[in-house]
Amino acid sequence: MKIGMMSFAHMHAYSYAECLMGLENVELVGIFDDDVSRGEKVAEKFQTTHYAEQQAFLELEMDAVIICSENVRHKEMVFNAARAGKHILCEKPIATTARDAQEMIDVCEESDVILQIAFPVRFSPAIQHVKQLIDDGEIGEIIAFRSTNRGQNPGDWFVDEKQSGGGAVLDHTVHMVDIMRWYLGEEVVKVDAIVDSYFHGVTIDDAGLLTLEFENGVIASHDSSWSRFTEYPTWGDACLEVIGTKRTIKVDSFGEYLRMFTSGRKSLSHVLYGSDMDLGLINDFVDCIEKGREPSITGHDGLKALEVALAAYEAGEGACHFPK
Amino acid sequence: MGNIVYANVGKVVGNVEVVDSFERVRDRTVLFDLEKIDFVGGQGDHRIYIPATMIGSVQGENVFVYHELGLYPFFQKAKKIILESGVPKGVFRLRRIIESKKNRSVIASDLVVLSTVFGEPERIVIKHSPMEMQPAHVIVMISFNGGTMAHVDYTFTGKEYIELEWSGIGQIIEFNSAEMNPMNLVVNLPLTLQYHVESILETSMNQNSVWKDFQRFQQLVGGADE
Repeated sequence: MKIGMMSFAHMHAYSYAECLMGLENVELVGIFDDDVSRGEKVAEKFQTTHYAEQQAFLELEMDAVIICSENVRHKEMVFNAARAGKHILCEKPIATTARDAQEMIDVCEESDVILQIAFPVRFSPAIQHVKQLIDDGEIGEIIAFRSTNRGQNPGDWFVDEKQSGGGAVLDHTVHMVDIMRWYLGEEVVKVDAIVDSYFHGVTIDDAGLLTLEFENGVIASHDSSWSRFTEYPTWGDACLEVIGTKRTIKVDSFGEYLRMFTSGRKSLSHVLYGSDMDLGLINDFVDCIEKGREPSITGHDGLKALEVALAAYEAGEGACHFPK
Repeated sequence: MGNIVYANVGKVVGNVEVVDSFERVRDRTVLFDLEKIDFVGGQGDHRIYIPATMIGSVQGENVFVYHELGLYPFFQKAKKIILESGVPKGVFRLRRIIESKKNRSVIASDLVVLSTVFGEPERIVIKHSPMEMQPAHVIVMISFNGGTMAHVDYTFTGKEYIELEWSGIGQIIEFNSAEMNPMNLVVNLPLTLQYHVESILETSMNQNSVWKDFQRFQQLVGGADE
């Protein structure tokens, strides 16, 4: 299978490219990046060809593309790739507006190409195990969730609203909302939120708390803040507590680590040794194309998670209700 | 004149006797076990100390009220550190599992304590799990006027547990009563969730002076439980 990559603006692109390089049945045929300097460097690193022009890149014979551009450019690249007949794995959030997201879903359907959204947390073995426990009735009925997806400030275009569409709340809400939706099979109907900027002296939001209500009455709290600093032992977290009628379970997507102490300013580091969620995501995408099946995480999943994040911004001054 | 302290005696440490009748109070501090008594009261001019969850259950000038969250040594230390850098700004999260049925007074009491750290609440959002489902779960989201946002999550069931996370500017504080326990005993209550009887005597405030404030917080969380 031939796969190309569109933009390395998002740091996850490096991990996805590493994953592709490790798959025997996949060839990384080229990289489009109109940041020429970056594109040339990554093409050399991953032993492939750099394309500075999107059209020339999309004329390549390939099955699929992975889009890791700035958020605001997802739409443009999805449209171009879909119309060129390429299946698409698009970095989250799917878009910066719900309307753009819907148009991206529509163009992929019209072009008969797969649109998958990159929510790698779904491929955490711990997260998957809890899903199995829920489906087996081991937790009972779900009553509530308590989740965190905190991290460091990624900087660069992430703090430029024109390119990112939003700060920490947009960046770090969609993963865990996706997991909650997946676990429940229900949609969020009400969002309350506090959104602010505390930590990094930026004008974009870097702190956010969300309180959610699902259509079946399940309630949830979520912390999406960029509240970790570089000296903290790890970049951040993706944790979820599921409170059920039979039992409560806590799951930490990055819970498999060694505590490493070293002399110096950052004395404690968490060294991850667990399975690679990104590899799980890429394997699933490749399998999805090979079998021509519905993606595990659809454009619609991306849209619903995005709607919650966008609602949090609106809810700053009061609850935001979704129409049922 | 003695001190009658009504408390969950399993949580209180200190050289103090647990008694079951007023005759045994004399001029000293004694504990009455809240788990074993039918009513709260006093006798003579003894001072009476009650948790905020029992506010109003006994009247008089000698009634003093304490807030349990503020008594925990871990919380006192965290509060001190948070306030050292001036007016706190950041994200505060508290997770409590409480071994009792749903009790809004516990929430109101916690909010009184949190307001002593972060200032007046400007906005509060309360979410209750569906009434027909057990255990009861409550989420409280608060925006404090000092510049802190907070989530406090309660589940009313099972073994007592508290988790605290403070994300300030260049400062993160974490506490977990299960993980940071200096001693593993096969009992329900970890040592981290005990407090000293002296703390109760030192921090309690006259009921008449805290009554109004506590009522305000109780109204914010939906009133008293039926």
